[in-house]
Amino acid sequence: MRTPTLKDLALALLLLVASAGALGLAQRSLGVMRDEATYFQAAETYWGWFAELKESYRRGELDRGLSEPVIARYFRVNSEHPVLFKLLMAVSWRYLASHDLQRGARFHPVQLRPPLPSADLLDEISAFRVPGWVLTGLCVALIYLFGVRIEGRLAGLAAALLYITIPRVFFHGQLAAFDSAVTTMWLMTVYAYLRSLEHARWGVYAGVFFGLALATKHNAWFIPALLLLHYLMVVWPDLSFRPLRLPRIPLVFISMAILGPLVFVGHWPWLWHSTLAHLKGYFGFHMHHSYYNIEYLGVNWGMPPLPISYPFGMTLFTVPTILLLLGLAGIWVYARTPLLTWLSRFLAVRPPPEDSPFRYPARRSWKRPGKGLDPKVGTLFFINALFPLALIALPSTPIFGGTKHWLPAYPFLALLAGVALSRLLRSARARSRGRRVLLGALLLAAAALPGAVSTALTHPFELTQYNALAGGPAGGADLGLNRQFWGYAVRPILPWIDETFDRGANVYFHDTNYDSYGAYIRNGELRPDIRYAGMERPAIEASSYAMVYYELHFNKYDYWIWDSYGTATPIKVVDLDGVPVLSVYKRPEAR
Amino acid sequence: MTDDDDIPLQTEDEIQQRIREGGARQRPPADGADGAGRPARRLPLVAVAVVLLLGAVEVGATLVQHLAVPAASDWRAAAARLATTRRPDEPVLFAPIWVEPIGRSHVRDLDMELLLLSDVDRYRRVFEVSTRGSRHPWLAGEKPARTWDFGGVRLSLFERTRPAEVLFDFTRKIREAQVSRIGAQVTRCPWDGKRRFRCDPARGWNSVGPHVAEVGHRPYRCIFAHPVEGHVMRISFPAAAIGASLVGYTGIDDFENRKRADADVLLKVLVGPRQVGAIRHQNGWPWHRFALDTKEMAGQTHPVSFEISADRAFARTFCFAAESRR
Repeated sequence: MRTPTLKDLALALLLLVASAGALGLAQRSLGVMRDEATYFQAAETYWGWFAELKESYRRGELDRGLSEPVIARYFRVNSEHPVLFKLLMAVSWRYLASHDLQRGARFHPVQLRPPLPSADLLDEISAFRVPGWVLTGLCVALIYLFGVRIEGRLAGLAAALLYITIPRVFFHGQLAAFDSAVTTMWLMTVYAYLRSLEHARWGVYAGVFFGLALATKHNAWFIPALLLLHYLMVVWPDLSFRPLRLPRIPLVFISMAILGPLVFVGHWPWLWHSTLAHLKGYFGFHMHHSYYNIEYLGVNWGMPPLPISYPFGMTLFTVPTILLLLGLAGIWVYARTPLLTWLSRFLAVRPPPEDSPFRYPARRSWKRPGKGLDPKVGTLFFINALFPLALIALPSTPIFGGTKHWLPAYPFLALLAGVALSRLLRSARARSRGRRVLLGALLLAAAALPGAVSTALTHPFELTQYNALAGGPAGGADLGLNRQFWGYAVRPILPWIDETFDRGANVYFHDTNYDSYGAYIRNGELRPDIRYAGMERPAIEASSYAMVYYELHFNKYDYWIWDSYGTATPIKVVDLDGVPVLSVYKRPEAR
Repeated sequence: MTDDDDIPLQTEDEIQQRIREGGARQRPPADGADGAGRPARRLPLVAVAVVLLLGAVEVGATLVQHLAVPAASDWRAAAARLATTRRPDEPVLFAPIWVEPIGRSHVRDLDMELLLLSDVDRYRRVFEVSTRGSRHPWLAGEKPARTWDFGGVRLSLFERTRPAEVLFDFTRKIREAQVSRIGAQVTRCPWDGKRRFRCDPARGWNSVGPHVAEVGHRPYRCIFAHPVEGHVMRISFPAAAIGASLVGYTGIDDFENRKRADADVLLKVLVGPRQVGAIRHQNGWPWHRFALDTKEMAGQTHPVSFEISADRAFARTFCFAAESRR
């Protein structure tokens, strides 16, 4: 393995800053997701606890601030998710946002005492989203360093660029939501684990990173099982059964078993009291999660099981095809020797000559459990690239829907692709350094441009994006693939709404939830006199304007609006490449 | 012994040394023959070319797909042509179906009833506004009599030589019906003066009336008739002109109700005292077409009744459409 140089660290930093910067600039036109709006409220509420804790401390009543009723008052909000990311959101909102507590005062979940001194750098929505960009940028940088360490600079750079230019990755990287963040934490944990095979201190880091991953999102609970599976494959050739000599439990797993839960419980005040009951509620929520509706191949799937092909089909149609092919090539790079060796037992194939530098027995220990062993990097990548998709494919998994649920697979897919690209360049044996650099640059461009172009052309509606193989957004619609979710597509037309809607208009916002509506008003993007009509049919009946987001199962709202308004002619249709995303109607009587 | 067999033996230490020096990468060329080695050497360059080509093709395809979108001016031109060519009672279909919201925003004078049809059998002329070379499923296999192209939007006119002649549209004439709930006793359901025959003022769902239903995520004009457990909902038309067939459609309104329950709903159709057909509508069915033979009574006028029942009536937001055809 190659040690990254100072130049690599500088390049990693550049990738972090450039990625976070691009995400920050892009998100200004991106609507507020339903979940994001909930997290905005939660983050601000949690900040209220810190304010109260500070006040309690000032009065010499710290115990009161730490008591169960006070903690519960603040942390009951969104208690189905751990709070690390929301705390980061709270900090960035508190210290980076320009605060106008008068504007949309009714949308603040807690009344903070002004003044709120802040750097005044960003609007509120952007400030809440800063941790998302930074953690996504960190993921890009980490992918680069990972690639450098296992293969070389081109592999790292290619993997990093391939990752951030996956349109759905870029989309989720802009958000104040957990999916991109937990992907970073997942990668950090795996990286630390791999290093821990030869370096004891990385075993400790892995425990901390695993704890941070747990503190970000619940899918991190699966990480240890995957790493254990990998470790068993690593250590297998070095095991002795006669006499039976089982390996001692490696430090990295002890660390994850102890530090992981410690960080998890320690970071979340909700778990400091009634711990078991609250843990039961947390696990119960995710194990008995409600089923979302998701369109796949023309069918609305609202009851389990989803087709097993769903995560694979969606990956096929949303991830740039070149990345998928290079990822497969990367798997071939790593699997070629063992696969052909195995096949040679049955078929007339000739395996490549075995050139493993690893000899057994190795000098491993519980602190350095992989010392002298083949770390099987390809296997590690493959397991982590496959598992998140396989989990969603399981018939017993609740219907979640979006590609975001298997985002942690993509860094590993990108790394496999980066390795393939690097090996390709090496095998091409360009004669001079200049030619090598030129060829490398061309390969990088060929690999990363499809995703970058697709991202640029579909922003800010990346959930409606489908790749060229699917036929683009229109091809996705033809195939009957999910159009969008989270009710976010209204933001680009807010200036038009402000300009054209009647004063005091009662608006049925459909899938844009009340907190998102509040966020727009707080941000000064929506006229405060525009009212939120509510939900479902009574809200449509009471409204003078109505919106409908196009998802297959939402079509009924369109028909309710026709029935109530007596017209099927929208006054505006928002579309992406001719694919309708959102319609707005005006009640004829209100004309 | 051939030359190939004449490989010098190496000790384990020598092999280790070779591996340490990256010996695996300095292996002698495969299978000696120069002629066979040349294509192998070219393979990486071919692979590089393939990657470059794939990247270029994917970028090119993405751009082409993006630029192939019909312009608003295309839609406006098609709508303008439609306005001068179409009579107000002639239907307009959009293809692909998902493009309909954009179509509706341009074709502004569409009667809403024409957007809620179950089929277009009764129309002599049908217009289709399409993009991407699509064809509406109801017009599959038919050839347009005329087409007009406006950039990415195509307007097509389909002419039918023998459209179905509707003698009695039960859905449209629902207000002329008599509605009752039949159990141990018969309860008459009066018209509320607005939208419904109400059988039980305390239970809003126990009503019958004109409705816009979502079935299979598409809209249909129909008669809403929620069944009641242990009862039969009867909808009677005192005098309906009977033709050769009675054609209709059944469905469960609202995907949420199709998720909540899965019981069948039974619809019986009676002409006079005689049952001419029964449809047991299953939960997973889309908007389900039925056609009943009434040739024996063709040309006569009879009372027609529809009876709706279900063993389990929870969330059975049943809706149906029917018409008597010559």
